[in-house]
Amino acid sequence: MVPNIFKGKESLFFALGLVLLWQAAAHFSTGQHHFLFPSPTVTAKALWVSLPELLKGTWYSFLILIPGYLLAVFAGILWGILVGTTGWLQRSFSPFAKVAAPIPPTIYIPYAIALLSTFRTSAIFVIFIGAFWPVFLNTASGAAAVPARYRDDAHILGLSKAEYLWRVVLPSSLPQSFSGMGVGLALSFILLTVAELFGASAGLGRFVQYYADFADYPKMVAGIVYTGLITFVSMGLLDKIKHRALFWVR
Amino acid sequence: MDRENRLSASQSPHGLVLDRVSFGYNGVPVLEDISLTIGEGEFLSLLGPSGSGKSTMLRLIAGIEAPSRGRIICRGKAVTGPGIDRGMVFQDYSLYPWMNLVENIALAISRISRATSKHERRDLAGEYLAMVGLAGLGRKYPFELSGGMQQRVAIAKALALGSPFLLMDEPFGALDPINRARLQDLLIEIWSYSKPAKTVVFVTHDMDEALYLGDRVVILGSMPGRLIGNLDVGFARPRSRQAYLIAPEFQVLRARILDLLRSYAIERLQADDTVKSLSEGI
Repeated sequence: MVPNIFKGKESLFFALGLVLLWQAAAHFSTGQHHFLFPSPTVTAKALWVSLPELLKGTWYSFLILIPGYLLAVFAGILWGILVGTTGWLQRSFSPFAKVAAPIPPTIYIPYAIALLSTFRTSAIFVIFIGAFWPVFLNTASGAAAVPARYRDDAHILGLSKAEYLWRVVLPSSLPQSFSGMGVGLALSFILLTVAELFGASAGLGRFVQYYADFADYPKMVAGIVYTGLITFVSMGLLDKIKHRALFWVR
Repeated sequence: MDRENRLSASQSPHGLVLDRVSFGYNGVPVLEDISLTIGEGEFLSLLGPSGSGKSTMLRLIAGIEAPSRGRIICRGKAVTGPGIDRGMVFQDYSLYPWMNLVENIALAISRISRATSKHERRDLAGEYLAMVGLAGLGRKYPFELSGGMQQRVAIAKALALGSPFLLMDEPFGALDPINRARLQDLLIEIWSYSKPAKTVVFVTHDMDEALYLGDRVVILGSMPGRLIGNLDVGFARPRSRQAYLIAPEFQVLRARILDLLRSYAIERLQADDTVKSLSEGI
């Protein structure tokens, strides 16, 4: 049984234990391992020192992530709603989507870099592709499954197709759209950092790669921890938006 | 009704006429050969056990489904799809959960008067809410309301469409008895004050409800749904719930309905030679 003092704070104690374990492991590692394995205190110091550089890197990364992701959300929802509610579109596009969606988006990176003029546009493109599919697939399945009572009511009211899509299908499939957006955002961060390993001159992935090249492992680990925190905060923000937008879901 | 009468009724610019309507779903007959004339301003109860196709009949009148045979004529014109002359209230409240009450009703208002401003529509929606006893709750969302209150809003929404025909599909089926009684009285009140009087087709499987509300009770038998009875309810309005429930005429009508359903069920049993529960759904 968990003692009372731990109640509700289990995760905090778990994290504390993990940091202690890390500190101990760093302390007792020797030779080459000692060098590769900076302790939490060393990492924290490196994080503090590189904070300005990391913030700048965040800015550069977000200049890629945000346009790519938002474009994917916009296109994924729009196209998902159209495909989900239009029989012939569904029949013609779904087989294609089944083949195209599972292609790992990272595979497009070299081609995108060759095809598009700048690193930024090619990275935006890759993030767009990666985030588009989960948003699209979830929205389309939500739009195809609008409850019959909403459909019937829209029918009775004689809503036009545009009104029906905007005022009924969009909100009705929004819960599914949001779960696609969650998957899409996590994938976007993966794609962003991977893409930055290839050809970026700045950014979070670039930061980690750069200090790895110089064998500055404290800074490299600091970059990993920082990127983890940024991802966590971004996902949390999306969750907040989701709860606000889906206030009516009970 | 013989053929000649039916034709003359179907050409009349008033009321609703079902002319030898049949409907099947995947080859299974749901409704068979239904002929019925519903007069303007009439409150018609459509009573039947589950599986009698009474909801389907309402959906056919609404134009959500099309009959496989026969035709439905509303005010002299064949029904080919939904129209705002026929408002509908469903059992599951027909409200959009992401819109507040005013927005839900204003959406219905926007269907009939495109010219009005958003502001006017919202004011008008508030008036309809007041009509069903929910004044001042316009900014609430459906999930903040009890089932009875949600159904009041659904009625307000149907009224806001201004339809002369009101189609109600077991609207109070999910409510507790007290709320159900309150909403029955509210509906009758609204109906009796409407001018010109609205025509109501009220689907229910509750015999007391059908008799208490209706000018006439039409009874459907199940599997397939056929018209097996058509009873005038001769009680004067306003009806008093207490006096009415103990009235001997009421007991006679009840017995008559049970008898009609029982003999139809026995007839079906003999026809299919299969054993089914006689009292199913009643």
